[in-house]
Amino acid sequence: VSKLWVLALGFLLAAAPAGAVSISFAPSSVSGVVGSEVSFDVVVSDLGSATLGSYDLDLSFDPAQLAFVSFDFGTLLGGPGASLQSASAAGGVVDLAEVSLLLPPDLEALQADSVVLGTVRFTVLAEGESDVTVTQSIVGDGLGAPLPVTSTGAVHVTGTPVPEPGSVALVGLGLALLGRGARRRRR
Amino acid sequence: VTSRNILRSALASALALACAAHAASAAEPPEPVALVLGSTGIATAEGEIDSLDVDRYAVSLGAGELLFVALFAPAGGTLLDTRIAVSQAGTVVATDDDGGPRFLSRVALQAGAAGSYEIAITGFRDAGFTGAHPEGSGEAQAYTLVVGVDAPPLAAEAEPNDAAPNALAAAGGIVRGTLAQLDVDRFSLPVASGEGLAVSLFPLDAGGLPLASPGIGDPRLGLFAGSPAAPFAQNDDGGPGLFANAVAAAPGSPVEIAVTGFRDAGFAGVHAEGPFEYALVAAPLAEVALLCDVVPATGVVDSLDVAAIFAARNAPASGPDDPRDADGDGTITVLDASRCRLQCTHPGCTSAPRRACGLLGIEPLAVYGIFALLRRRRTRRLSEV
Repeated sequence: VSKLWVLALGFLLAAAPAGAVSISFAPSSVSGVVGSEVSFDVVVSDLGSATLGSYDLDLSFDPAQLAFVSFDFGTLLGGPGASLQSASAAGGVVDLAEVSLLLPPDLEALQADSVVLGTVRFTVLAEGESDVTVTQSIVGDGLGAPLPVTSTGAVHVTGTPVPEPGSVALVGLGLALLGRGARRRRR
Repeated sequence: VTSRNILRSALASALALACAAHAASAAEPPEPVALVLGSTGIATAEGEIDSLDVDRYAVSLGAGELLFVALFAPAGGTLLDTRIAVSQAGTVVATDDDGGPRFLSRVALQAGAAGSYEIAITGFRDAGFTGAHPEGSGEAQAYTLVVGVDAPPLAAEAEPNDAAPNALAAAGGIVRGTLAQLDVDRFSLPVASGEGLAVSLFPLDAGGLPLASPGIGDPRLGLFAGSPAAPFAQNDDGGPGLFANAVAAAPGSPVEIAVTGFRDAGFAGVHAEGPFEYALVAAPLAEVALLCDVVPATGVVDSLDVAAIFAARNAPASGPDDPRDADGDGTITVLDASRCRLQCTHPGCTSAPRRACGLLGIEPLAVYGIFALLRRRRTRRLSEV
């Protein structure tokens, strides 16, 4: 009986479309001083035997806290010259898209179960906390067939305040006074 | 309990298979579909492959007649990976997996006996032709079947046809050609407005019979239209081995078909291929829309086309015939660009074929010869010393 079920299951699995993938970020939380840059990787995982041939993702962010700087594309879809790439931001949404010009066997040789799409860079504009999330995603395999996306992660961004110049000056003054006191005591 | 379980699992499996088989055959005519050959021995059929589906066609052959079978993918079927078998009285006489353009298949044979021959088309995994394959599981994949039948000896080209083409009938046909060095073979046929043309080259032996293996011939195929004639499609290695295939919508009539050596991208006769024999099978098609050929629509799909589709992503398709909408879902997406990169005419999605090594391919030999002479001279001098 079990053999029959295994056969039936195997048959149905063979006819099923390619497996689902998940999109995540690494690290899942970042923090930066206002004015500085924060960055994180975008990763597609659970590819299994499938290859990644294309993607088109929309990442939503808080434009009051973050400003998009750049997306450094990875090389696992072929890199510059072997893939078409686009990264742009408008109204709190970053659109990232890439299509590999490589054929499926070449992609298979390049890729494993997880593929780092690239690194997103933002400038922290204000202190506070917000999330960068995936609001829309199209992911395709090496033959241009859609790969269902089962889960998408988020990045928690914390913006911390810049130390005020007054505080820095007070600390400096304190240190100077301490130094002077110590010198007098020695004399 | 065990027998009940066996019964349940058997019923479940039977139901799953029956449902799948029903879905696959829902819109199909009774098979095998009898192919009706035209006056010039050409028949074409449009079909679709679904998962668990085997399409069967029947054609009558006389003893010794030649059969040429080629599959084309005029409507986004490049993802289709087929297998073909030709059988007579239940015995497979020829089979092919990837002999055609991309992953498509084709077969050429000489009938051993007179009778009805069945042409079965299935997914490449289904070597037993039982329908056990997932090809077309997401959506049915369209193909165009071209069948040519003629008795040997095939009608031969009339040289010289380097400048003035040999006329073919409007219904297409099969011609035997011999490509020699510096030779271009040209043929022409009238096409109706909106018609397409599928042309396939098959290797022949010296006796004019189909070769089991492609041999060493490496021809290039070009389709031209207009006055002065401008190329609208060409192909180098899309066929078996190094042979060529081309399918395209004709922008005008008549269409000129040119066969030359693979290095001769300009179809000027500058090549050192040959001599070798080939059969040219030309089949007019009712309507052919070459997907992905966007900027400009010249019959060549390259990275510019893929880039244009990529740039237009997330826009609605202009209609069911929008060449950018490769998956036909009504929206241009990154997946269409990805599919179209597989349609590229040349490897690497380049706009032109890679340059051959020199004009006639003899330059490396010349360099080698000079080096050999210099070496010989040096050896002589040393021995004299």
